[in-house]
Amino acid sequence: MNCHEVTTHLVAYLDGELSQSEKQVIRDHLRGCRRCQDQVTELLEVRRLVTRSLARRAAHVSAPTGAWEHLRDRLRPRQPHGLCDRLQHRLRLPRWWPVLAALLLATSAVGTLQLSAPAALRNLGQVVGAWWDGARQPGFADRGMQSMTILKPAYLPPSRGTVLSGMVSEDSARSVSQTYLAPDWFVQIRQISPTTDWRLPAGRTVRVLGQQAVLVSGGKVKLARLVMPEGFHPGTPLFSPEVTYSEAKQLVFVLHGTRVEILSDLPEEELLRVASSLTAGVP
Amino acid sequence: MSRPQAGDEADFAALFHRYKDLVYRTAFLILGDQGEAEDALQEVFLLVYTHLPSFDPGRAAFTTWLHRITVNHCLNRRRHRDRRNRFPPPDPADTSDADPEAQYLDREQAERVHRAVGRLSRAQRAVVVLRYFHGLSYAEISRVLDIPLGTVKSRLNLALRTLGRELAPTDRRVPAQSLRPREEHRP
Repeated sequence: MNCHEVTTHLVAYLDGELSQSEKQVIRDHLRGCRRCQDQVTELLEVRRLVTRSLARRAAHVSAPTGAWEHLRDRLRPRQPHGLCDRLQHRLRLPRWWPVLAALLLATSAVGTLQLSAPAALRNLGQVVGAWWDGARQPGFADRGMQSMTILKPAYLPPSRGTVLSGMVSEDSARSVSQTYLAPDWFVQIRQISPTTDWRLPAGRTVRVLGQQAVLVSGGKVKLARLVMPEGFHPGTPLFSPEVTYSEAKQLVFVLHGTRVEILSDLPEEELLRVASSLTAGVP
Repeated sequence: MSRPQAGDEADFAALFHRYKDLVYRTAFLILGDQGEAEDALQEVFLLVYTHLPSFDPGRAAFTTWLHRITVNHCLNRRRHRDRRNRFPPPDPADTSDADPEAQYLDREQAERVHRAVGRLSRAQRAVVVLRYFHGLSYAEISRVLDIPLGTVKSRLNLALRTLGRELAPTDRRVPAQSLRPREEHRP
């Protein structure tokens, strides 16, 4: 064994990690090699310094007091606190479920649902529906919702399937949007606080709840079609949005100090009926 | 050892108190910072609590399993931290000898060794801590880190040689002969 081969084994030799025959080979080499002997001396000193340094450093530290109490608090199941937590706990939703709900109800892209699994629709409806119910709970509503009278439609058209609903505050809490998603129609009601533009768009003038309103029709609206995976349940990877375009109408008017914009693909008569049924639905 | 099931708080508390310093000191030596080690202590025991039901005493000793979780967690943490700052200096309180001169020399030496260890690669630092602090055999280190025995051997060999180079210059600046008392020239 030459010097190079010996040096690759010297640390293991000093650590007592070589077999008897390997040790003997190293010993035989060291007897006749001053250079490798020097290396042994140097490595022994390094081992001593490192071992001592690590021991001394570690001896001066120990786990902080209160570490167990902190850990215990993290181990105990968190008691649901507030509506979001209760929903998350009850429905076993991921912690980021409000993000999901907000995405689902993103008001710039109103969605319809193409569901291959009926159970998925029920689950999702449960989530979103519960969220809507929760919006009425004290403490859930954010500043935007608290600062304006939320209007809720007393009438919604019949649907071939479940109607999903939800509410989201946007634009730094200066507006609130409710979205109702049915397999065959959608209605989005957006209320904007008085700090924004009050001018009504150009369009046909109609009367809604005694107020002058403008109906803009013939426009295109972007729809995000949400494709639910087979066997969807809350917590699984969710959907891939497909953007499509659809005819829609917009009805704009001012009521209870807020600008109301209703976007929908309903026929005009149905849209006006929904608008006329708006009442203060959420405290 | 009898292992507590996750959810049995009293048993898990006993396990925590038994092994907390082992985990904390390992984390401290690898991460080099007490705050980081405190975080690691919490996170390692959360992992232990979560994975305890899957621990198989027939496959590994509990301490081997615990070392594996601790070291792997610290190395992962360290990867994030490396992007932010350098291996911090040791605490001044590390040396507490009564003799001020010895204290100074110890502190100097401790700082040099600590800095040298801090400059090792993560993989080398882990084997150094497991071998020269915990005194694990190469075979045990191999099991903890899930690497071949030959890799343990080569990492330790490389680590000690690197440390030797890092620590050598200061020692060699002052040759042993220069410390001998000079013979006074007498006319």
